[in-house]
Amino acid sequence: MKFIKWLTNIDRRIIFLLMIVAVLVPMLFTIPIPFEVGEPVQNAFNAIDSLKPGSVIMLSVDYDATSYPECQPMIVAITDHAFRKDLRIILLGHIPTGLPLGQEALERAAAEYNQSHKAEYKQAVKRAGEELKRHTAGYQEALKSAAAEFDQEYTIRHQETLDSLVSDYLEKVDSAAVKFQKHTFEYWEAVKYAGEEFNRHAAGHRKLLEGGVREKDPGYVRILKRAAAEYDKHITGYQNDLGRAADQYLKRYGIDFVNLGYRPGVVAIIVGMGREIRDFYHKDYQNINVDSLHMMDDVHNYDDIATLVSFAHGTAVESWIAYAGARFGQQIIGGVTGVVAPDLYPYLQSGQLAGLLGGLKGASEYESLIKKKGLASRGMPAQSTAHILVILLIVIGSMAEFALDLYKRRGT
Amino acid sequence: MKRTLPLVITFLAGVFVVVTFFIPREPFGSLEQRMLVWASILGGFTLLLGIDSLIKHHGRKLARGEKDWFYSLVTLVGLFGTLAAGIVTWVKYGTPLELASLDKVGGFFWVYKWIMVPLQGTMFALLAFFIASAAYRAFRARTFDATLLLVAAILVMIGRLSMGVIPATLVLAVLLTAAGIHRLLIRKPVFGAVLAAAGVSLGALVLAFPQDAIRLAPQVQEWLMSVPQTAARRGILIGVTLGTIAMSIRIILGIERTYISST
Repeated sequence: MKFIKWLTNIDRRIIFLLMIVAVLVPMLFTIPIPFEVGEPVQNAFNAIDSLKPGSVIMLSVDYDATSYPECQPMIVAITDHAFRKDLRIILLGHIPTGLPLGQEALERAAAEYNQSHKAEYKQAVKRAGEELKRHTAGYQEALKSAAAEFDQEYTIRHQETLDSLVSDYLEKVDSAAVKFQKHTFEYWEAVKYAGEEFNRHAAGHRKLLEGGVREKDPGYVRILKRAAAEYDKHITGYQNDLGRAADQYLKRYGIDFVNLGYRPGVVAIIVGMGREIRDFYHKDYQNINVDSLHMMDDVHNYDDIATLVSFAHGTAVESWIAYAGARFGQQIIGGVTGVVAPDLYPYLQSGQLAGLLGGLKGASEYESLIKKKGLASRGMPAQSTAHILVILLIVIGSMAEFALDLYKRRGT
Repeated sequence: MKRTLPLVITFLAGVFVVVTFFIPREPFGSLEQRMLVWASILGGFTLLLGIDSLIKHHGRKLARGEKDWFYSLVTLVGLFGTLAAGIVTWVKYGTPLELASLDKVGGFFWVYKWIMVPLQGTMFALLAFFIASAAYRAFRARTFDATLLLVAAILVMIGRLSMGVIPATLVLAVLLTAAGIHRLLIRKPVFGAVLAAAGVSLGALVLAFPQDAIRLAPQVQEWLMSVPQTAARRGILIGVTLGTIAMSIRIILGIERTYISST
């Protein structure tokens, strides 16, 4: 009897200890788990998967660190999926203390994407460099032979300077490429700067070169000018090739994703963005003018946003549905904690939500759809054992209570 | 005047916003947008009010040496320390928020990443322990309603398991059988027989068709969420919305005045 009484009132410290074990042990092992993907998650996946490359999706960070284990895997998985589909991402948030988590997810996904396409990108850069060298080699040969005909010593000296400028330029591009994985925006700036530097120096030297021989032979000047124009064309082609390679293989801030930051006034902002995003976000989170971000050129309001995903641990998704969905017809997907998910089922059935990721399970289902095991898949076994422990405790408590009740009835 | 002016402003602003919603054409569209921008700016000022209130409350506690003054000190040190880190980082890098990048970590983001995030995470993680303890103490199948709630809750939990569906369902079957036997013994034969039969059938079915049980568990959970749960939730939602509309009309018309005074 004493044992049964004890079972109805187990010391909470024992329960805490059991919970620690239930959560920790599965984390120590890799447990393969099969997933049955639910309809709400499948619909969310389909909504994003069916978007055309180049479409813009808006991610709203409406959670903070308290819901990190549930919401962070969702934003990581959806960002990853979006980058794979070549979608462009606008990040913003209504909880300022949660926004850096969204930025972290974006940067990490971009870095992973860039890392996984590193080889292709390098190959493309190398190809462009070789192409440039091939063209400039012909040009240099032509110049040299022309120089031999006219004023060998003077022109060769300047031509060598020009050659060293080309090498210097290529070197700068190469050294910038070394750190492109993490600094895609800065990398592109460095390449642009190197190009501008090169053009400036090269133009100066050409002027000198032309000035030096002008008096001696106008025919040679004509050759130089024609060659310089040809050279410019190839340098422009090289820069275009680099740009194309970056577009294809790199995810860069300002071009593929932006972070508009936090502004106070949830409802006012959601409604106001239906008319013009810049009325509320004229600068991004780094204080850069939104108009200077290439990605935002053709994005003004919800008409330009294909899908909106709100990651929330509160009522933010309902606000998006009520003001952006109902008034402007914005397609919305919810990524919410397990506690919030039941509140959103009515919207799911009414079609006001295109899809729903609920809790860690929803996140892990999405991970299985994009075939990438992440935080959620790793966390699911621990959550499952914790659930089983809670079920066990409830059953033990109830059964002990039945036994105690019967004992009391017989005793009276 | 002190009471009338806010009422007039509220009435005009409320009516104006409703009108602009139904007439989005110019000049209403631009005016509505302007009002929304104002609302966002006002939202910024509420932050200042919050900081003012926080400093006053904890400053007073600290100055008077009231009970738990130490926690007030920690709060104020946290507030001003974060502010100082933000200013230092701003001076150093041009903006405190730039430091959200992966490798450029300055003081402000350091505070966020290594103090605030772990603290918030830890506080929320404690819930797992308290929920387990509370569920064990509160969830007892004493009555019909409690048993129904319990079974629904356990079925939802089982549906969200990634492993251990069979043992968890068997545990539920044992609970149902035990509850049934208990009811039979206390002379509630009908309810007892139904529960015991349900428990035994569930256990037998799970043992006979384990793969189907694993496949069906999420579907049962999805059905519970989509049908009974959603039906109840939709009713609550409609009630809340009607209440909100009624309250909004009361505020616009000046009937509800608690926001300007306590009376």
